Amino acid sequence: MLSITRQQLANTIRVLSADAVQQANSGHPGAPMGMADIAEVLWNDFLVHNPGNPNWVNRDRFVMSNGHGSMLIYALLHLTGYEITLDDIADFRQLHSKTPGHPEHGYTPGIETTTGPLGQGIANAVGMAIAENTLAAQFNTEQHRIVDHYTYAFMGDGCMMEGVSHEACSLAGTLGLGKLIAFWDDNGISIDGKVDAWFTDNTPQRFEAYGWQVITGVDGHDSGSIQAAITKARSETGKPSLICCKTVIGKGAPNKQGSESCHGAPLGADEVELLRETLGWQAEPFVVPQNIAEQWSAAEKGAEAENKWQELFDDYRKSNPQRGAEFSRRINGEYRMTGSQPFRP
Amino acid sequence: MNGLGPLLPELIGGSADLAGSNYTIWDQSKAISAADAEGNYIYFGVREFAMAAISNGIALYGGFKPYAGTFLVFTDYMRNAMRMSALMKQPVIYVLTHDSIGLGEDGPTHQPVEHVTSLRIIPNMSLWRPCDSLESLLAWTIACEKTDQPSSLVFSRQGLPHQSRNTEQINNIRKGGYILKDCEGVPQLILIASGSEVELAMQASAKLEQDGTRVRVVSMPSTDHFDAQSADYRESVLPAVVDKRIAIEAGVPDYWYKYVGVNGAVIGMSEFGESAPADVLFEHFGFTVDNVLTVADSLIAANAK
Repeated sequence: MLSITRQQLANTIRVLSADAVQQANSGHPGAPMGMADIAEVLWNDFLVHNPGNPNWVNRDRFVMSNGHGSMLIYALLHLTGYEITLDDIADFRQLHSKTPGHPEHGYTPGIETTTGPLGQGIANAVGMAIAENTLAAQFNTEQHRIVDHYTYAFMGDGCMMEGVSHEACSLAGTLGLGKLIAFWDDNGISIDGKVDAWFTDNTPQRFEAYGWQVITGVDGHDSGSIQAAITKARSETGKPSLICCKTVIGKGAPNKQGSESCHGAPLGADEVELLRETLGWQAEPFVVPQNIAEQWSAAEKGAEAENKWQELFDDYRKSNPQRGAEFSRRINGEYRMTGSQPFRP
Repeated sequence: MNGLGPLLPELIGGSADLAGSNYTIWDQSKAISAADAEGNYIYFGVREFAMAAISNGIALYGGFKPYAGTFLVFTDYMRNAMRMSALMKQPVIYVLTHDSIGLGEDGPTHQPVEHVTSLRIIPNMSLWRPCDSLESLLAWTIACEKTDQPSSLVFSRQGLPHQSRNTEQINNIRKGGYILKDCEGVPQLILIASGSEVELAMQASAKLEQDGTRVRVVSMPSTDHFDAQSADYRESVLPAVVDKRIAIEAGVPDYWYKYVGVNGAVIGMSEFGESAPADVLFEHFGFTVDNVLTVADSLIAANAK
């Protein structure tokens, strides 16, 4: 068997997304297909997480602010090894499934926040980055950086237009949240069509004005370009970064890519067939070839990362028993005052 | 906050450019900045919606108890993020001050009318509108204990007098609604009030008592906590046999009909406020002892027929 290309890894997301939306006869294939290459590079080369323990405290946080593209994150969670099966994906958008229409915190392991109301996911991510930064300042020591990770967020044009993204990103710049990295899926399309008629901000200038590092000219379908941009973003520690990725919505669907027709509706059985032809994809719906599945799995890598962190934390606890205990209390949400009457009115 | 803060190093939060007005800043508050992240206070600036959505992110992250303060009227700016707190079961604490026409001269743009009710009807949102410092303290404590529910703590701008209570009454505050003042035998009338209107209910009950009417006063700071009590407890506070009931709250009246019933009355705000000193406004909109007595008389007279 020939080695798997990055293209094939990304195409797995495209086909799973198109098939799931087709089967549900409802959903948004355009964003997952357009952002598949960005997601593939971020999740395989950079994201530190453990599919075996979605609650590991020092995991990178990943937020899909453009939550309608939920199939992207479900595909990623399945492929990397979270408790979400291909049957769950085939159950997309059905009652009480693990794969609701928009990503919902609490329904699906690995979903950090419920997104869909556009612009709020990036604001949640700003909150997570503030929390990381402050928890690190409260507990890290010179020898032990027990809180030390990134927060990544995907944003669509809709997130950029919603006012709350202006509020949140402005504050993120002021607070210098260097470990917050956002990706703008610059595909020029929203539900009504080409955005030229209603969204003509100079987004890079806007984020520069907030005090962000802005990385422009990124081809969102070129893994080398994406990789270089993420590396650059991570090297800036004093400012949040925005990576502006030019993408084609619905990339891979020969007749519908680049058009609003693939934003929020199934591609149609014929177009899904053509997508398979275009991508040279032979597997049946909801089947992932084993060699591709193996390549995607992050189970082993993730367990190793958490074990390494656990050793660090054990050592921290030895050197700083009180702070170690306090850190565990905080993270477990144990309420110190429960059952006590520590103050009088 | 000065009582609770030192006991809760996980408290983190701030307000939308209203630190002094919302009393969200306390003795050991230390600002978080780009230069120094080791703080517990966030100057959110005039950005209510982001404040609430960022607080959701902090709550989801873990290790912190986030709170977010602004004027109650501006919950409209951040309402969808408050709804998301409730949907995601995140225990964010919203500190919402200047809760009625009692804020006075700034006028109807700043005077909440429908807001308390509109927050009460968000599923999984807990709400407290305390009448004095003791109820406020309990409200804060209970909000801090929550693990799967956001809380809206609604406070007045104006200072409110302290109500005296026995131990049983103090213990019952947690139940969301309780008998603050009772009468001998079966009451002829029950006055139900929240927040700044509790004192008005107490004054009116004193007058009614002088006139020989048996009146019970129920303080109802949290309808959701009251609704969660046993049927027996609720019946002990609001006995079915007493159907002459008046609810008093300086907000839209609609929500209170489920407590006063079809034979009851509500003294509330059915229109926007006005710009004037607070005491003038309370008088103008009927939040006076005389008006409560008039409504009580008509209720008793009507039901006697």
